[in-house]
Amino acid sequence: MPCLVSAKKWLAESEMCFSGGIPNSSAGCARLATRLTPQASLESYCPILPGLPDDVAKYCLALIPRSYFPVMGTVCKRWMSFIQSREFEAVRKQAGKLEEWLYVLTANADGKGSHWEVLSHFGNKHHLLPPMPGPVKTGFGVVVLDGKLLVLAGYSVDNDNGTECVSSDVYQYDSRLNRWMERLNELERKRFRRERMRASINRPPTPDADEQQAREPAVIEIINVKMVESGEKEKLKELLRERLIECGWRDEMKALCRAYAKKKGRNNVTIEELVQVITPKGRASIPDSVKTELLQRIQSFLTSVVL
Amino acid sequence: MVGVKKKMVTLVSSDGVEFVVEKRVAEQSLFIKNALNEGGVEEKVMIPIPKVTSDTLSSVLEYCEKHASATEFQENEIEEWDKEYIEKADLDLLYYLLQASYSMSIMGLMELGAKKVASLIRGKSPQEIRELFNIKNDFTPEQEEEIRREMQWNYE
Repeated sequence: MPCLVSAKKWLAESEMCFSGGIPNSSAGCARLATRLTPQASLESYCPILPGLPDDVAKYCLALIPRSYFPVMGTVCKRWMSFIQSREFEAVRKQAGKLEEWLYVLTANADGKGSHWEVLSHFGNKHHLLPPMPGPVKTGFGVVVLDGKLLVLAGYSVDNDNGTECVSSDVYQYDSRLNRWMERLNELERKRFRRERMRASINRPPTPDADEQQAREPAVIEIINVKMVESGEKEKLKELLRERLIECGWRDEMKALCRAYAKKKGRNNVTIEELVQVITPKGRASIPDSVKTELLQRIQSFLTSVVL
Repeated sequence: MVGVKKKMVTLVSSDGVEFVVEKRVAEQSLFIKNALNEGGVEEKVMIPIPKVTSDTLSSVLEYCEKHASATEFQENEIEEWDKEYIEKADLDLLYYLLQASYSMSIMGLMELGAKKVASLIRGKSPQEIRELFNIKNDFTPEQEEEIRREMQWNYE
């Protein structure tokens, strides 16, 4: 099964102010509908709320809690596309209505399969996401972009005969409409394959090469290539190095190595052996704050790449 | 002090009705405030408020008067007043108030109105929303069914 993954969603700012979005002069007047009847509006132009300037209507919709979005999305095409738009997110942010979400992949109570849950910082309520579409998958990559949770690649498992095969599917969960959809066009598929091939050449050696490790998700590798190409990876490495020295992690590892060498006898220790022994401990003892910082850096990098 | 003359301005609604109000009341609208600043200090100020009828303007000014003297009241008193004020507005007036507050830049009133609209949308079915706000359903029945199926709402 895939490991527990969490990803941070957008931050919320609780400021009740939206002066940026609303023109405060005659520009607003000019666009103002003079009558309430929908006939007053131009035929080609479809207002969000007939009779109200769109700026006002957008603000109205932004004030409605998230749980009503799916219903709102079925009112008309204009509403649906607005709810899915980046602008909607921006207006909600201005209205102080953005929440922070934590996506958690959890195993089902019966031990078979898994499901996504959402923890929000508003109280301790947690939501269940609808089941992911497509075949059962494992070893996939996860990233949150632009208010959407993306589940990328991995291995799909055939329930009947238990065979696994590599998958290049990308599923996207839209938090606003509470729905999953597949998202990958032909162009993306091609790029995906190309980058994956390149990535597998540059793949770093994994210290403990058991089966689980050997089939790491391919998308991680794509991201890896992007990171290397842009030089961001070096920067992140440098940052990680600094942080690990700062928090004493490096000294701790040093001490562990020394202790191990002492125990086994200085001449009987090989580098490979040392790496194998120390790696799990090292991975486990990295402080959460360091992980969070790096995760955020990677996240903002990915956002900039995707934009 | 008694006898000190308060600064007054005259607002003219779209249907030509004049409203004489205190400057501090009128300045609840950023639109008027800017207009006054640009015009400099004059003895007699007349400001036309295009596209806002006298009925709407009198209701808008009721809001402005209350909020111009907001410091004299407790915060929850103002909140209560706001609630009552917007509660008694029907959908037509609500729309007029929103339009007026938008064109006159009265942020507080616009926020109040928008919250009311949001509360009207909340908890209604798509069809109820369409009927209330006069929105045309441009989905085909098949599309609607598909969306509904995909959007099964698992939240409590």
